[in-house]
Amino acid sequence: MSRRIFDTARKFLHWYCCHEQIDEVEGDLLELYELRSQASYNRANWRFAWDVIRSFRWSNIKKPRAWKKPSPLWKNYLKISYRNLIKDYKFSSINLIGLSMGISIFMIMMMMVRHELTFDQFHKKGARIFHVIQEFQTIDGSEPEIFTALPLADALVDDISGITNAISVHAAASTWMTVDGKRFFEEEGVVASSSFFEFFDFTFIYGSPERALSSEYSIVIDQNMSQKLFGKLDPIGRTVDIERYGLFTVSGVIEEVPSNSFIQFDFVLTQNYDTFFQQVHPRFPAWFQSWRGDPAATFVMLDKPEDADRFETEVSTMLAKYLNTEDINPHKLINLYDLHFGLDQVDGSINEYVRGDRSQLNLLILVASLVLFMACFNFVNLLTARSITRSKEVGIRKSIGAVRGQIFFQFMAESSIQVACSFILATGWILLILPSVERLTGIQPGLDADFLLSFSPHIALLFVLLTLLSGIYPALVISRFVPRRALASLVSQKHSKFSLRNVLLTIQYGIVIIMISSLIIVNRQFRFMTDKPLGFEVDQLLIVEVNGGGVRDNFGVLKQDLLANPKVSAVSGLTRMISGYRTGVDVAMKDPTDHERQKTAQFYGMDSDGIEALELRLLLGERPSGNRYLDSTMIYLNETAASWYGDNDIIGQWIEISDDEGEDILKARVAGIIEDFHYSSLHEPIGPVVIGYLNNPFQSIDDIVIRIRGDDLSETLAYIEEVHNRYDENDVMTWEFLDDMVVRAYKREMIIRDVFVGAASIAFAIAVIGMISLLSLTAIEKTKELGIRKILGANYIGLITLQAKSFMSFASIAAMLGIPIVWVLSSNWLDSFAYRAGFSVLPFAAAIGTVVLSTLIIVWIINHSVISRNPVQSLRHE
Amino acid sequence: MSEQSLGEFEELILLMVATLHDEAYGVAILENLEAKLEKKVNISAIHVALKRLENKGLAVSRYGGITKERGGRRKKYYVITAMGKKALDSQYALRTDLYRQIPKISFN
Repeated sequence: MSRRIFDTARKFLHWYCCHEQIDEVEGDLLELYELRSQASYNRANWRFAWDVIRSFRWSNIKKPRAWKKPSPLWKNYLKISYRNLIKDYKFSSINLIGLSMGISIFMIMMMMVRHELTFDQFHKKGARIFHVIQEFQTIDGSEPEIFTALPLADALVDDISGITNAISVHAAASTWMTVDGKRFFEEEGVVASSSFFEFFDFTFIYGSPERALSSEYSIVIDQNMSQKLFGKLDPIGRTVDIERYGLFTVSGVIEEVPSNSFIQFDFVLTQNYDTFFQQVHPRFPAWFQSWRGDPAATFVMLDKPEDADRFETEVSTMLAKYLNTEDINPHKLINLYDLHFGLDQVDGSINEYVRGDRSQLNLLILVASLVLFMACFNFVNLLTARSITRSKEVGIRKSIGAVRGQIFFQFMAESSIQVACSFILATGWILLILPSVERLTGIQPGLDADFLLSFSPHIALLFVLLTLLSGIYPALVISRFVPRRALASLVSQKHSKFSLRNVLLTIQYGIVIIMISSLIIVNRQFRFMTDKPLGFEVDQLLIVEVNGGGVRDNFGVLKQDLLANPKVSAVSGLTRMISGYRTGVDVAMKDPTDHERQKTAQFYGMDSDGIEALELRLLLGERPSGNRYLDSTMIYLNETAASWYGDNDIIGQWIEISDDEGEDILKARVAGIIEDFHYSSLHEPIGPVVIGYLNNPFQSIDDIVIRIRGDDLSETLAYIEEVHNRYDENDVMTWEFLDDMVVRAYKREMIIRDVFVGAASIAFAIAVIGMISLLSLTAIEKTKELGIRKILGANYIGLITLQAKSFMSFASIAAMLGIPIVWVLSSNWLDSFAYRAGFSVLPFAAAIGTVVLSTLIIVWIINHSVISRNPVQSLRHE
Repeated sequence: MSEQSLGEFEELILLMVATLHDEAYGVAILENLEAKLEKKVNISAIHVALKRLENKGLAVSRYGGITKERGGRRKKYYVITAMGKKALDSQYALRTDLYRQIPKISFN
């Protein structure tokens, strides 16, 4: 046994001990071993092992060759690179910052791209889960929507083979929750079938996905909500009193729903419609639970994903059976993994969620690559430019015996060090910028190990590529210099007009022109959209949502109370506020002479003061009388709707309006024509609109608009809130100013704009760095020339323009190439808007102007010192 | 490398190298040191100290012949250098100087 220890220890010693020390260490240990084994063999073995372990020290351990004797040349390379970095520390730091900024912006944008591409990928059974889309058939064609009838889910499981399970999900009304006497207002919730968590994989902190929604009154909450309601304790089994729903028991706590999930919620309730209907929708149950209703999103899990194809026909037959009609809306399936980009043309969402947009994603990738390209290209350019000034160093190295390979290696080593430095810097930038990106976009791209791992080959490739590219010119060209010539002149050997560097500079100018002009175009369109008169007055208009019955039933009194405040100039109740992100109800308006002829229109109901409060412009006809009985028989058409009826003769005629299904019918007299107004976002053209009275068969009051005057907003708001709460103590008053609401419709454009502003300014900054590098190089090369010219009588301005002239020609070539590209891209993008800012030369002029001006300024700054000093010094310059 | 510092253990080893003159190698130093100090010393500590002394130029080494009891490994003998001697001298001088300055009174 102890002999074995001796052997193992000796093997270990041989394994680690370096060649220089083995004689002394092993020799001494063995000698001691011999001595000790005379006393006790066992102890000697153990002592030997112990000594071997004690000898396992740095000084005795084998080291790689490079460690033992650092090659003096290697050290020299490091030192020279370091000195070069320090010598021109301004340039080095600008260059490093430029590249690292570019890399970090690229990485962050890639994280955002990945965030978009990984939407809902965390659901393991996603390949088998499909969302049922209902295609409503309207007069104008088919309108797909995510909502289907509530009984559909159960019927699917029962009637159609190959479906493992089906669930229905819909949003929960925002409501008060009471825990231990404390009240919390919760907004983002869903109501779901009990197998919700068998479909979707959300991570449970407490409780289990199988049993989470098994009982009738279960609620699953997320981590944040649990923290808010219950503190740090395990809340399983605690009860929450949910206003309008009843007493629910917490059965699970999940981690916060990832931002790349299309379904967003803070809590999930079990479907329990008894309480729900009693409290929230006393008039709805028949519709809500019937086959005619469409309140919920339905998800199915198929045994085999291939079965999705036969679903469409089978579900039509099934629906025909339940609905007793052949007039069935087709139902389609979209796979869970494709939802984010597949819902593009589909209406509706369960809770607030921004759909994916392929073109936006492509734009993101394009901009990211542009920024990276600019950064890399500049970096390479600057290093190349700088290396030319080192021909003398190379000359000396070569004359004292350096071979080409060594100089090649030296330049490569230098560039790799610089690249490595900027990679490290880039990591810092990412950590610095990421939080604000998350704030700006509302998504958490997440810098996780997964991402880094999947991206590491690309990063490695980029590293190698950058090192090679930035080192290749000096390594190949300068190392070839004949020492004598390299020493005699500072400048590189020959000058050709068409050099690689000039081409690169032109590309760079082109990218800057593209970036700046498209930035201005995007900005112009955005300004156009927010500034365009919408046909009603946006300023100082407050929208208060009607959430509870108290306000709905007592609206007349509430209105008088509000108007009692002198700061409130007008109040009106609306069925739905006119705004870009919510639409009115669709109705069909009929031709009074030809009843078969009908047209879909948007219906907005408002009380007698509505037109005045919104400041809609009445073109023809009479204003509302103020008498509710009279006004409820009057409707107004917008210009588009009026033109559908032919001409202005429609005023005074009685027309029929019915809802989508043709069930509820309103017969009313056209009282006037209202100027077209933008009721939707400017992506959409204006369609026909019917404005009717607040009390109508289609929709009840939903919003109160309040026009306020004066500056003291907070006081007026407080007053309005107090009045609101007088009639509805159950709800928090939700309000918004209309101008904010209008902007909300352009959330996507705003993200694009922010991305663009960021990327374009960084690209521009990087391009400026590149220009500085190239111009300064030329300045150094031309020091002597400038001196001679000055002696011969050239003046200051002349010399500057001479220097700038060559760059101007590159800029003009770049403009000729870049402007058509922007032209095509921007007109494509603008086509997605029904109303767009007109064409203008301004973006292009501004882009070219910026490039020219910045070139001039840089040329001036760089050449100023050379030109203004004594020409003798310039001539003496080596 | 202006001032060579000499730790206590290093000083002891250097003294041992000097006393054993030409016969100083790991095991010999260990045995003598243990006898003098009357306590156990680990051989690896001695090796490290020897290497440091050599790096500082206070001792030089040479390899001896191959002997049977060492598993065929050579002995590494150390000899003190002039610089090593100087370092010991200055250390000694410093200590005696300080020792002499101890006031007699403090013993009473």
